[in-house]
Amino acid sequence: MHFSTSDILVLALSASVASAAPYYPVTLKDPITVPFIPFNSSVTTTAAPAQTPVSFPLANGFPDPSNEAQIEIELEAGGTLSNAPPPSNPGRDALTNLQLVAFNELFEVAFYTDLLVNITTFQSGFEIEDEFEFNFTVDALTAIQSVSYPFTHQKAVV
Amino acid sequence: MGTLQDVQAVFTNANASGLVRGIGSVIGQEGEQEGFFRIIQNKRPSSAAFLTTSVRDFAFTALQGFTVPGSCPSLGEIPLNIFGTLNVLNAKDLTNKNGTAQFRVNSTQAPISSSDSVVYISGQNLPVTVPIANYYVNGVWVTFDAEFPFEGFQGNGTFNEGLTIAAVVPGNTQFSSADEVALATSFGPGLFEIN
Repeated sequence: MHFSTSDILVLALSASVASAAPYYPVTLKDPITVPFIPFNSSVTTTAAPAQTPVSFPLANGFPDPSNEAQIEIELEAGGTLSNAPPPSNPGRDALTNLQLVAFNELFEVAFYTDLLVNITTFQSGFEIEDEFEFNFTVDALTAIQSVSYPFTHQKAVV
Repeated sequence: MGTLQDVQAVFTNANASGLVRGIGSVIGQEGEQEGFFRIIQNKRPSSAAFLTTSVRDFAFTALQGFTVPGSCPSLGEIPLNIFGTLNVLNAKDLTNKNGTAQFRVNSTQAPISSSDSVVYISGQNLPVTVPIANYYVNGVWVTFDAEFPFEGFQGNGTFNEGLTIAAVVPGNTQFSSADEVALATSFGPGLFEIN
């Protein structure tokens, strides 16, 4: 969803480490096989993409992007993660909130990535005929996808 | 899906009220997205004056439908409930008038009985409990109806346009909050989108 989620997620991960709960990094096994098409690449292919669901990590390393990738994501999203300090002693239920939000965000990234691929490779049912509408929609969806990026790689703060 | 309202309430009660502002900013940003998606469908930007509230477990359950089973290794660490799937068979046929909603569930996922009820959560109003009818069993599949009282039972309806959430609960209790509904839910959420 939203740029402040990364700090939120940092809090969740670091707090769970601090409380000695088991920590499984959020990396899934198979690299993406559907190409991630950034907004300003020229899309001329008419080949159908692989009929596989989006899987992580994405080409830019998400959910563990490099610092450079993170800067690009923030640029595309129109803003930055919050640099304000997180709460010092959140309860267990607060962490559950963060886990749910992170899980939801991973779903949203996958969803919008899939949708963008379908539109920019002109899949049946996803065609946008008018060029202005096509560009406007792809721009809006790319920003939404970038806004959906939570991050998992920042330093522990708690 | 109304979930972030619950997230804010939980942060306040879990010694993390400093995060409420950030969630509020996210709710607003998501609203901006929603306006866009509604406009390109030629709908009014806002679906209702007060969007429907929800509870985290409903969102967590709904997300399972988009997740390849077994593909999220840490899913079991999230201490939220996953309810039985509540299939709404005729959501597209329902309008801002009274109607009848049709549901189907898989009885192997959670308990179901002909004395159960459907509870509707709409807007910021008290949940509305309606007994189920036409209970029919076909193997593991159970179908049933329930009134969809958009206009209410005496024209004093409390449903909003936009999203309404349904849950199946045992018996015929009235609930005083969405939280209470979630605690009693066996199947849900069923989703309705009016306009």
